[in-house]
Amino acid sequence: MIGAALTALDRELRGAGVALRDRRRVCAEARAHLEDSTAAGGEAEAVAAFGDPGTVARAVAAELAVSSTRRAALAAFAGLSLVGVAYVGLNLLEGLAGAPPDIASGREPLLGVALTAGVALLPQVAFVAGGLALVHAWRIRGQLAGGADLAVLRRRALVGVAAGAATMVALGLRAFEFAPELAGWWAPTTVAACLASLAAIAPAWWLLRRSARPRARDNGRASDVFDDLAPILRLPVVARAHLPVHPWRFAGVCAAGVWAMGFVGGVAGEGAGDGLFFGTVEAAALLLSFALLGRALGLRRAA
Amino acid sequence: MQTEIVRGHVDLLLLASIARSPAHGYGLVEDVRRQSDGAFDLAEGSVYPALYRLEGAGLVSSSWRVVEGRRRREYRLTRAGRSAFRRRAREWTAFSDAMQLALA
Repeated sequence: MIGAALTALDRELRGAGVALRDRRRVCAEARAHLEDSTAAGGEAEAVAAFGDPGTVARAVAAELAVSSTRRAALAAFAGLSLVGVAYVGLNLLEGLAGAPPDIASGREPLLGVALTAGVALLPQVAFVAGGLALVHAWRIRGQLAGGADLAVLRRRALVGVAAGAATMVALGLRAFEFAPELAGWWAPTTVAACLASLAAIAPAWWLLRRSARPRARDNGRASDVFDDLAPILRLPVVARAHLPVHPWRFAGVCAAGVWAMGFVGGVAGEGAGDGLFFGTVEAAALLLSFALLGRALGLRRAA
Repeated sequence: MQTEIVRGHVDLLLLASIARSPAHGYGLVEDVRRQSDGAFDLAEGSVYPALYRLEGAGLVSSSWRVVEGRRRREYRLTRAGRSAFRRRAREWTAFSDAMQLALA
């Protein structure tokens, strides 16, 4: 009777998308439980007290969906942190390899401009998506999040990982594009750092794909950026400012902030002209990213 | 005791039981039943999803141990689990005291 119950539990777990290793653990624990329970009473009573295998399997799958998605998102953030260290390090090293090249002076000018733009903008997407994934994973700790919410968390982490990987690919290609203008050691160093960074975030990609297998609980709406910011929005000093909770107004406020930072940075570097240019480009990129990725990243309030 | 009422407090009951002594799933069910004089009769299979949730949140850790010739997975509180248990127990006591006052 215990054997039949465990077979049914294993079948239900498999049907709920639970991986083999987890199924083995759950069934081994269930076997020990049923044997102890049988020793205290009868076998039939033990199986009945344990409960319906389908109900237990669905509950286990829902918990594993949350824990594996959170773990994958945290792994993605950890991998992206290493990418960030490599990115900053390479940017600092570029100064030692020679003067920063004119972005139109590459072997293929259009490609050089595109790669330079990618190297400037993609890390920002990775930073925002990875940061949102980290906050989201922290926020739902100990909770039984539903499938829709976990899907948003996975998308945030996947977008972060994809943008981080694209940054490193762009950085590696850019090193070859501008190789004639920089020291000989620059291109191989950059490629080595990029390959190491890609290797650092590859496990997160695999974990994220794997975390989608256990069937999550079908409950509740997907959360959004206003849920992430709720602890900040509730602070009295912030609440008094009446910040907009409409997604596009919120994006407008963020774009204005980014424009101001770009403007100040440009003015400090080359002058007001550059300040206007960089501020406008950054703000436009933010609004474009919001339009393209807002729904995927859960930046817009869920219906 | 109504199942729905108990279900909302399974995490705290398990943390309390593990705080008394590290144990395996069946041992925890028995301990909760014994400590509550049989009032809290947990649905036995439902204990494991709750334990996986607590483990995922870093409040408990687990490992296989052989006890009396039988292999069992034993759960124990982590440092975060101990402080979470103390905090939740305080919250529950305050709620319970207020409820008793309100119902008097």
